[in-house]
Amino acid sequence: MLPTNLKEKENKTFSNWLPQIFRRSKSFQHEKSMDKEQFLVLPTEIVESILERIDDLSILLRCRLVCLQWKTIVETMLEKQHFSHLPNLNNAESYFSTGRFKPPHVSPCLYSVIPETSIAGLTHLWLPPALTNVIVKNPFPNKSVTVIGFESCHSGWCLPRSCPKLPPHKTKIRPAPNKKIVRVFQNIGHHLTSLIFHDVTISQDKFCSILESSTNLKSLILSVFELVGGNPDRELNIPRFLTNLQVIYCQKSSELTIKWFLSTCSYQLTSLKLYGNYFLCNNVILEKDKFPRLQNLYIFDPSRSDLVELLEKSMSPPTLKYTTLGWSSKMRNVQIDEIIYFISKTSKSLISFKIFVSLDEFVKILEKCRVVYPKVRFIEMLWQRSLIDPSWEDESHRKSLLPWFPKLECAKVIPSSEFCYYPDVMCPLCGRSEKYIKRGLKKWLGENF
Amino acid sequence: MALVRVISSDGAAFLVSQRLAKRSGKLKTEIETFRKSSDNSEAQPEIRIVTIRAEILRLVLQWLQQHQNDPVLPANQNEQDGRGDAEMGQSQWDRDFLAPMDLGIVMELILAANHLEVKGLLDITCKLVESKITGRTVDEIRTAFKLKSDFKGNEEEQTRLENRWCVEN
Repeated sequence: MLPTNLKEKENKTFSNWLPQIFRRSKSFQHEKSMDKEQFLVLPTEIVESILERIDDLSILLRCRLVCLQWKTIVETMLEKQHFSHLPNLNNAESYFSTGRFKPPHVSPCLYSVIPETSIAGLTHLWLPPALTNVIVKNPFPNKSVTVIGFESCHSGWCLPRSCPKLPPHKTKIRPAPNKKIVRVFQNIGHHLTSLIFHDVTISQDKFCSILESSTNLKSLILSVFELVGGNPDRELNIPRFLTNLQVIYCQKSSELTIKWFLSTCSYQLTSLKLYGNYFLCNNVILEKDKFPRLQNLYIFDPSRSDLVELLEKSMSPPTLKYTTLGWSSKMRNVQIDEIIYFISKTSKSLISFKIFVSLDEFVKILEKCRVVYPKVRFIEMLWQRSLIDPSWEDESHRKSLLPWFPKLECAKVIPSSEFCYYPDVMCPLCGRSEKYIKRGLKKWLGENF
Repeated sequence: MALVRVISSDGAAFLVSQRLAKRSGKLKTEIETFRKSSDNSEAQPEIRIVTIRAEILRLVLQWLQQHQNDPVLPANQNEQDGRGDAEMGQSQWDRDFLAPMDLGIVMELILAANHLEVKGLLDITCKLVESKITGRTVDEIRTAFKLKSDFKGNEEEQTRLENRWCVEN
């Protein structure tokens, strides 16, 4: 983090470090005479300005191994890059996107989810004009905690094995996370940057006290989550770095409380993802004043009426850069005009807009919008494997899109089933996904559970 | 030609033109402060830099002299990716200038460039150091920078493990 008072830091740095640099400089001139005192630490800002010139992630990660100071600096840099404006989609999502269980604290990552439950003829189009790579692994897996509720096949905690300063016996608490939940978070809360609740029912008071203990939280995922005892006037100190929120398949019964939470933290969010909630918090969503910092919006599968209302009424925040709108096959009767109207209202800063439509529909949208994208050189289209006609060629797609993308070099068709799997739209952890979770948990937590 | 005396930490004085000195953000501010506080507009400003020794100051001034006709880069240019344009067109002169220096001197130069707010010099020196990191193993980096691993217990192994997850596809 950059210091607020540069001058002060500068003075401090110089008076502290300069003598050391002199000594170091001498020691460089006399390579052979090395003694312990010569192992000193460089000023942070210098290391920062050197390391920030490195593009290659693998080299940065190597620098992370040099010493604690370098490790901290690299982590801060990566955090800035990865957490600032991209959604910190997490392991909870890997349930939905891949169907394979990944141990929650091991590789939370950014995913782009494309549903496969499409009916014949539906084509998924993915249009990221500025974004080239959305799959980024979370570099800080040991700062993430997942709480899996009672109802799931495996209730309990998934804590990082290396959770800092956590007493050893606290690393496995099971089952009934609810009983000790508040006390545990008082112990570990401030270490966490990412927190996931899956299939958990919890009272508003406990939820508030957990959040208030997790002072460094950056990302919160509420998946199949139920918040009971909604008091719409409850005050809450939101963790001040909390910028990423995902609400996935939440229960209708907690509609009011989720709305309360959204409106409480909306002013500091940069990324918001609402996924498969059959109630969409329409009156909260997308009002300029309420989301002054929102850069990334992802809405998947709202209810039909909510989506129409969203498309018609919402005003997008001026900061919005990435938007994704998606729906499963039920929602296919969404009118193109509505989408166009929505696009026309989205902010000028928008650099990526993803929707889930067929190629024909997409071309219609482009025709109506009369917008030309002079910079786009690459488009990926995700197709359901069974629908791909072997005679199709990327080249013909490219030509059909050229009027709107004059610089287009490649329009590539990717069989979607190859890299994503999307279970039925109903609660994804019921039924078929269960075995993955069991296997995954056993494999990963075998020694702990 | 208006001159300014710049004095290093070990007392060596350099007499340089104000035009040249003003290419350093820090010196420019100092000269302006001096102008405001001084009644006599003809007086020669004297700036003492307590953190930079003569040898390094001489190198900085030498670099400024060579680059005095380059356009001044705003300090915050390309702040986002931390890269200035200067390093793109690194001249043969710069390469010869840096070639004989050992890492200790380069480090001092980085500190000095940072302190005196000479962005172009900061860019080329940082770039040089970066090139010493690329392609080296962790141990080699430690040796080159005379850094010592201060990880405790299995922290290093843990970090290595985390790294594996970061690059895994």
